[in-house]
Amino acid sequence: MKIFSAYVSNKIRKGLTVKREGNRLQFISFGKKSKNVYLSRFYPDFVFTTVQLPPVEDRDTFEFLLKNKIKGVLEENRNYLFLYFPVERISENEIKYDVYALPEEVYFETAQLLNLPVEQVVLFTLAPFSLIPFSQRLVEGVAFHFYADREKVIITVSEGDRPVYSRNIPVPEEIGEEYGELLYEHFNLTYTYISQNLQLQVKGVVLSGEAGENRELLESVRELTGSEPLVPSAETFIKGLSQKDFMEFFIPIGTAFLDERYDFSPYYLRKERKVNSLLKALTVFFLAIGVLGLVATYGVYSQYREKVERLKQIDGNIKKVKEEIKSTFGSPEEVDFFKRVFLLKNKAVETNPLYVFNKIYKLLALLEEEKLELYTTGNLQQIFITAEHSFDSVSEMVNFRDELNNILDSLKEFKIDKKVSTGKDGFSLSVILKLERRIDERE
Amino acid sequence: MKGSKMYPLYLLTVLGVFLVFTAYAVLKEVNLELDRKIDTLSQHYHRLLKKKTEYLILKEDVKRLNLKPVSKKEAVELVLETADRLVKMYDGKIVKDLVRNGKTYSITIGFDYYPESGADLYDFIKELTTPFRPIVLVRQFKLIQTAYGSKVYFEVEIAQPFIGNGNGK
Repeated sequence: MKIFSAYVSNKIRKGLTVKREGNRLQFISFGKKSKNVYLSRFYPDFVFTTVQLPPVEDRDTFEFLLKNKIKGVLEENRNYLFLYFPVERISENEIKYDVYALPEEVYFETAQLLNLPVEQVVLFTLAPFSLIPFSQRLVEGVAFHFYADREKVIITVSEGDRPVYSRNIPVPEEIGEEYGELLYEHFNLTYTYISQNLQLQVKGVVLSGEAGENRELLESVRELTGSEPLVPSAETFIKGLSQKDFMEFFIPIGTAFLDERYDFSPYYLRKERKVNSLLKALTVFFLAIGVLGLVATYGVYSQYREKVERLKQIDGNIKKVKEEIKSTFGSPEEVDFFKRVFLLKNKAVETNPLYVFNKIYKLLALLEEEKLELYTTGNLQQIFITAEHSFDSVSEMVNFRDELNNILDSLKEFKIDKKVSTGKDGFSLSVILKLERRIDERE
Repeated sequence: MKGSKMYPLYLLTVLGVFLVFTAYAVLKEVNLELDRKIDTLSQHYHRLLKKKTEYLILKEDVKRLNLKPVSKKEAVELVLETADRLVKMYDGKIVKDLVRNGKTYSITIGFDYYPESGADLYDFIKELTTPFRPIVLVRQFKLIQTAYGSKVYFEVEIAQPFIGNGNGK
């Protein structure tokens, strides 16, 4: 993520764009190239105090309790921004916190000074905190970090990532030759105070800004503390920036390493920012879904159009055919009449003896029928045949019988009742047949 | 959340997505309905096409056979005329009196015919059954061989459909 980290003090406004890469930064530009802005402010009049409060998860509740507890040190009718660090657990229900507070308007004023919309401010902190990332990396245990430029001196004592003590001292403008002496004086005073009054075991001293470039100071500090002071090197913390620029942009570079634990931004704005980014993500998500939906809907709409067209076409066809049907005959009654005529005619064909006997012509050719009857009642058609036959030989009779049977077998359409009796002489046959079939009712 | 500047945009997007998907669902449903309608109408169309073919064939037959509509009065006349002729020529008897069945008049006549030969019988039946006005249905056919030759008893239904409302007699 690219960050534009800016720093505001009395006269100095400094900023640079960097990118976080693991535990180092990558220098991008001295200009503003990102909408994620980290701000650090030199504001010596912040409130520092220590309170004991029960551990409360909800930030709003916690701040309410906090404000009540420390209202003695806050101005009335003024909104404050808080930062607090748990120091130690006093009892089951109480924790000791270091609390830092500053008036809310400082936040808005700082953004305004840089012409920045507050929406872009991801993190807002105080300059002393910007020194902590360096101390934390260089010193194990209590670190004494001494930063100086022509405008001010900032001293931050920290242990790990927790600030322990801080002093912010403006440097008079008219100071000249005595600058070095002034630095040493403040160093000496504060160092003594820390190690003697606060009884803190300083494990390492870090010098930065102009303090890191001042040889005399380095020498004096070595003498005073009995150990080698540490000067952060650009290489350890940022890629693509010279040591000189590193020292000059030391505070904004440190700010870029900070996280929300050091963020003074009004809690409601932070909440809103979180909500906004959530809403933004959701909006993008829904937009994507919406676009997909639109594509799908367009597809379905095209289908709809096609179907409507098809329907119109079919409707047109139907009208056309109806018209054609209508024009075929004069009237529906006429159609009905001719249909009935043909139906009746079909039935007449089915009952016609010529038609029926044609079906059994082989049988009629074989038999010398005495009686041949055909009845049609409803759908049932019955044929009765009576015939007498005499033969000259047995083989003739057998042949005749075989042929009769063959013919009758081939008449699949008929249900046949057969009665064949041999005459007394043994050479004559009496044949009585009943054939039945159903006539199809064709419409 | 509601105070956020993104909120209206978010709401608008959600609403938009909702509308898009509602439109999608509605269109999908409408399409299904249209499909059903297309199916029904297509079936109807095919039935009509079949009917049209049927009508064209019917029309063709009517034209070929030079058939004309017959009125109720004409139907009665045609039926009785043929019945009279058969009764007179073959000494026939009325088996079933003139009846109207729906839009058809019919009468049943029984008579004997003595064919001279098989060919004669064939011609007789053919002549009897060929006309369309009226239509003759052979209900009974009884051929008996006697010592004097063949005798055929015919019972024929002379029927004629008619056009019109068919009310009254």
